[in-house]
Amino acid sequence: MNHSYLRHFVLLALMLFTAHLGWSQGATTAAMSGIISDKTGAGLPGATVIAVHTPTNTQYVAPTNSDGRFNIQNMRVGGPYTVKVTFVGFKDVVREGISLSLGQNLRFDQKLSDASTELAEVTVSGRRDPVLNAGRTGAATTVQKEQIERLPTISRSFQDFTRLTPQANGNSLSGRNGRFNNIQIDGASNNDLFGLGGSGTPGGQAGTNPISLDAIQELQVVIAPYDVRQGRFSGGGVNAVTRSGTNEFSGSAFVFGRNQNTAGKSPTPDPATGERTKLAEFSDYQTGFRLGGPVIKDKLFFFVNGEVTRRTVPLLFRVANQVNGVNETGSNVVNFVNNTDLELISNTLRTRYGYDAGSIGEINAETQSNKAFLRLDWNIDQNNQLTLRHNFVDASDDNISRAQNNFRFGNNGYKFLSRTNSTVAELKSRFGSRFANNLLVGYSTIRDSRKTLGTLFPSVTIGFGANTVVAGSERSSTQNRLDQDVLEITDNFNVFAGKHVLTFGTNNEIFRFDNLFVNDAAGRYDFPDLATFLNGRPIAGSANIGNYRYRQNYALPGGKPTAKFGAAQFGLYAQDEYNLTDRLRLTGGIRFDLPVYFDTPSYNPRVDSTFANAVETGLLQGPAYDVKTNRLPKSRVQISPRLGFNWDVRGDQTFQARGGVGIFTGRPAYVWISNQYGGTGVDFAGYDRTGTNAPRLAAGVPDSVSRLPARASKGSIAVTDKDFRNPQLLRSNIAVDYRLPGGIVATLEGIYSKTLNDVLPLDINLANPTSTLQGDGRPVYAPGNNASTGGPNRYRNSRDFNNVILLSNTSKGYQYSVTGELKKQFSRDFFATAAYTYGQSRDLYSGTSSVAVSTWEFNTHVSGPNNLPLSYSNFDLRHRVLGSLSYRKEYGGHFATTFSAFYNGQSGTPFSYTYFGSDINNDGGNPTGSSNDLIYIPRTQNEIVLVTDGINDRRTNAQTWAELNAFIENDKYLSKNRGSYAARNAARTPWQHRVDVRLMQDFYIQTGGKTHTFQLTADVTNFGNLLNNEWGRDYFVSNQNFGLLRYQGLENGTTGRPTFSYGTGTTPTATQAYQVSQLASRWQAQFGARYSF
Amino acid sequence: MKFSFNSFVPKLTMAAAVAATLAGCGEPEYPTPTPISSANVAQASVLVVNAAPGTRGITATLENLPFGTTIPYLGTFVPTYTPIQSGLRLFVFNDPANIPATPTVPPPPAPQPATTPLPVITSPRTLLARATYAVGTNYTVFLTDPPTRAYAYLITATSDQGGIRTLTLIDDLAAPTVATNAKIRFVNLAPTATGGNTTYGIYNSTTAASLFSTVPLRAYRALSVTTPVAANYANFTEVAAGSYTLDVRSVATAAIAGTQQVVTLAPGKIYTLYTRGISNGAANNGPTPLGISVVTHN
Repeated sequence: MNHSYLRHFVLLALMLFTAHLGWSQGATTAAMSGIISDKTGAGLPGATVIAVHTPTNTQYVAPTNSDGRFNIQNMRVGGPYTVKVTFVGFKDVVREGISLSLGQNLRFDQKLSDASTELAEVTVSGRRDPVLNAGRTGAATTVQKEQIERLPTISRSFQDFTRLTPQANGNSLSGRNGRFNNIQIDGASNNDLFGLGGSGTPGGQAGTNPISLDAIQELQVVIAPYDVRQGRFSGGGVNAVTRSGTNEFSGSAFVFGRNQNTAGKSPTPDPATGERTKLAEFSDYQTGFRLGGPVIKDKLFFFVNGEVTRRTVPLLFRVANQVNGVNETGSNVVNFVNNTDLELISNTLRTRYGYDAGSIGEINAETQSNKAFLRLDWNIDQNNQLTLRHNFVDASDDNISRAQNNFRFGNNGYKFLSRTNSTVAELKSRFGSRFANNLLVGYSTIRDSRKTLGTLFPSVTIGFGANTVVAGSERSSTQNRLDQDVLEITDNFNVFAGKHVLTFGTNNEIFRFDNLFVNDAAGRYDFPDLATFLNGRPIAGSANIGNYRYRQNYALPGGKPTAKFGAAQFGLYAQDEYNLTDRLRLTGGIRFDLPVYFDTPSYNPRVDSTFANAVETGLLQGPAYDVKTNRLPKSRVQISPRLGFNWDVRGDQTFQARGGVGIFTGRPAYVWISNQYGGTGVDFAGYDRTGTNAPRLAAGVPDSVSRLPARASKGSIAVTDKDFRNPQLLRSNIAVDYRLPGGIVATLEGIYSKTLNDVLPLDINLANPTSTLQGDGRPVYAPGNNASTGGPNRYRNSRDFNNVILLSNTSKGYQYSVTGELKKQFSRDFFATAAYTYGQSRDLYSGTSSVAVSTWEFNTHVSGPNNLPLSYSNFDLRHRVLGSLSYRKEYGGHFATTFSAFYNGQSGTPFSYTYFGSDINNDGGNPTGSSNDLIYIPRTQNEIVLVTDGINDRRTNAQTWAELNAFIENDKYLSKNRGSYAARNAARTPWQHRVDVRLMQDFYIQTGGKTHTFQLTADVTNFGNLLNNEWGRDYFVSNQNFGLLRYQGLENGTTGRPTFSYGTGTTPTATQAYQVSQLASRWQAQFGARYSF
Repeated sequence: MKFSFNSFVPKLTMAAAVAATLAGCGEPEYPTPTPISSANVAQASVLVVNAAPGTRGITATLENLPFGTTIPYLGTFVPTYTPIQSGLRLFVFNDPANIPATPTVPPPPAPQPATTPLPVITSPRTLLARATYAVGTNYTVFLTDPPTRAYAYLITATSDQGGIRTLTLIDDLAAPTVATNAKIRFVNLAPTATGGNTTYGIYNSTTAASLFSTVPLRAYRALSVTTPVAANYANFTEVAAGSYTLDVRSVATAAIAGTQQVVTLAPGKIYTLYTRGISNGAANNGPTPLGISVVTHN
């Protein structure tokens, strides 16, 4: 593509529309502004606007200025508000039932009538439209309380509501990895900063939500907020605010539950039995309450919430019993070993080594969370409100798995523990009519760890042919912990000056990380067979004596045993929101972000000496790199200027155009930075011996210090470019919102983002390619091992280390989307939305891995993993259709029925076609399974040298080609791109359609001035599958990478053209790359009961 | 500000459509491939010899297509080298007698639990031989060992499955440096009746000098099921052409009865001499007696 065309278009569009709205508010509040005028339209100076948040009787008073303008900042989200406008000589106007959305700046223009002409007070009721409103931010989706209460959800996570954003794709926003989002609750960061979990929030690895859904008042997803107060993301921002108490006591208690009987059977039959299967036994329930009310009426309010979740899943596989001397079989039976063998192992460990290996019987794996939330809101006086809240989450997740080829004793599992404490204090102040301030201080501690079960003991793996029995402490969990402390200080100061609202602020996050992770820290023994285990050491003369192995990793004295470091992001900004005309608002701002790292990793002189000079001759060619293991990126200010506009085209809020352009600066996943602390090559040592050189199994954990070698073990290194910059992009959007009849608002919105700095991992130890692959043309790295160092020839320094992963930047990449949306705004009983989005996203690296080597080795390519071309992102969206609706019907004075539904249709997910099972270019990346090498798509059989897949492959080459050719023809991407390399993420799984529904039945009575409601709910996800087994299919390709062709070596062993096989010839050959998800393709239901007052 | 709705919306729609089209039509920038134009141009040459005593007639396929005709003991599928596609290729051999015996299970070391009985093979086992054949290179594939040779204990995916197996040798077909010489080499393919290993060599009956000193049975290569690299046994020895009276010996001083024969080596020719058959005692008079066979490579 010629990108200059697109750039020209964007520039042209910006010239046409010049700016975009930046009128949004901070992440916790709303605002109101407008002009009070007489009937001729002339502004009335000195009029008084009084907005009252009626549930708490919180008053916000603002006089109008010389133009008749007023502006009230730092208002509570929600409502209803009553707004009264008074001015001597004019009739008072009262408006009721106004609600404010999170981040909204409600435009409130009011004409007053002469008191002499009207006698009665004018009262207007109704809620304002958050879409067609000058306060709406660029590309943003607000999820209001009613939507949270009514739309279907089983997990009760707020991710089930961020999907209402048309530009969302799972956790991905606007085509970027969800890791690059910024999630804030009550204005404080609530991110999985390390990026190890799937949810993007703390506790994700323990399977918990970061807060009870019942504590959430409203949330907002922002894609292009040109308000400089919003930052710290290069994907999107998610802002949630919590509920608060009011003058009326209100509360709710609930329970939701489900089990294996509330889900459908598998979409496709089990290959073993030919029958569709039910889910294995489990139980899952969530229960909790919320209560809010006054401590002191009109002054001090409380809100408290508690929630407990429990999920119990029995382990699927049990051990075979012996029947007539033969191990029984079955799809849920581990039958390579029997109870007799396992008891022998267990007894041996107990009697000889004093270790209890744990259960060999059934185990229930439990996932639990306990959450507590308390919020206090204090109206100190009319101009100052203080909010103090604390959120506590304690979660655990049992991790133990068994498979037909692997049995684990009970104490080989581990418990993942996660505890989060998050406190936020926010002081909202107004000083007279001209100044306002918002101070927010947040402090969070997140403690994640793995707890091994039973007493600490080395990991013991016993081979049974190709199968294994594992006992002892789980080898990756004995030293595995992550502590995170996050301090956040934000202050925003507003100045109202005529047509200008100036904002000056600072937003600072200070982190402290302490990450301990040592594999095999308590020792790891591999016994080739049961006899060797029972012998306790290798059996002399045994053929497999070399397979007896002992390994242990440990921190060297004087080294740094944990990645313990501090980091910070300091932010300063200034902004001017300017009413150029009554219809056109401009926002211009600039934000400065300064990332800082406080601690340095250990120094390894071998790294900088290796790469100090370029090598331009011989096999080890490569450029010079100025890297040091003890050097982190320089602290450089990253500047984010932003400009936005909002144009009320007709002046009556029926048609608005908005848009803007700005730079957004986010964070990296801090695990990438942490990798450098653990990957210096001087902090850890490893002990690895086989056969008779390996020590015999002994009681207790071996003493690692007694085995200290002279130097650290050879491993991989992680360094960061000294000029590394946090992810940053230029984002621009253009949109129009148009009011149609029936209260429907139509929106057409285009968003374009250009990468300025993105993350790009390189292996700088990989020398330049030395040749090209005959019969293909791609570059190939030096094969074989260096005889003197024992390391691969492809490495520039094969003696001292393996991969040396450099975290660097690239400016390549862009995303765009075009969205059309129809929205029927919330009325009392009904709302509906429908949206279509087309989006594309391209990058070099989608940021999907955590371990340093993994960030590099899984990147699919043709020209080498250090030479990635711009291709489709893992989060490339393409077509997405969403719809939601909810209808509530009250009847009989005591009953109400609500039906809600959510539909998501999506044109699949992207994936790559690669070679399987070997390393075709010797880059050393991901040589097993689906590799990182993209395939060439042959046009004819003459373009591929086919061989059989193995000794049991009974197909002729012609038959193999016929199968391969049929596969290519069956795939839309492959069939259209024969004769080319298959581009990364260019193929896609089929369209997916999913409908979730919720039915709520209310029974209510009114007594004592309160409504008491008992509510029964039924949520059914993937409802289509309940109607028809063929519907609601969810498709996936593991790791978005399908190894289509199996590389079988070069024709002549080490030279010649590559040969390939396709399929195995022994099992049915795949006819498509994707699989049907056996869980997500089923309907699943959850039932609940709730009492509210 | 004056605004025309009628002109604005079409402009915006067109601009968005143009942007989407421009941005969407570009393809990722990968290099231009240089694929092969013919899959079958690179070829190796193979000669298959049946040296497996006790076989009744072996049939073969190459890449699952029929290869040659049924081969009797000491015969070849095709009299001369057959060109095949180079690369990793699969030969499959079948013989109706190829039924490996059940091995004797060694007593388990206490306190290992008693092992279950090993399976008894009742139908002929297929021999699978997958190896890399380099372009422009000549190979001789010998089928060796008695078909009743026991399979190996313990049974794993890569353990010896017993019965006949292959030995693949690379053949150096360069002409002798002296025109009056022949080139020869030696392989011992003579097992015991159960497939056990006996060392044999070939000796000059007249002078009792060792032509090829004794070597163990098939010492050169791994099992056929593990995709072996062919033993580089390309080194031939040049000898003066002529007729030689040769015999087979395990020890230099004792020729084995019935193994003496005259082998004529023509100038410029290349031969593999191999011991084969089973010596069943002093008489060496079994159905497949120990003896010397010759493969002529050119």
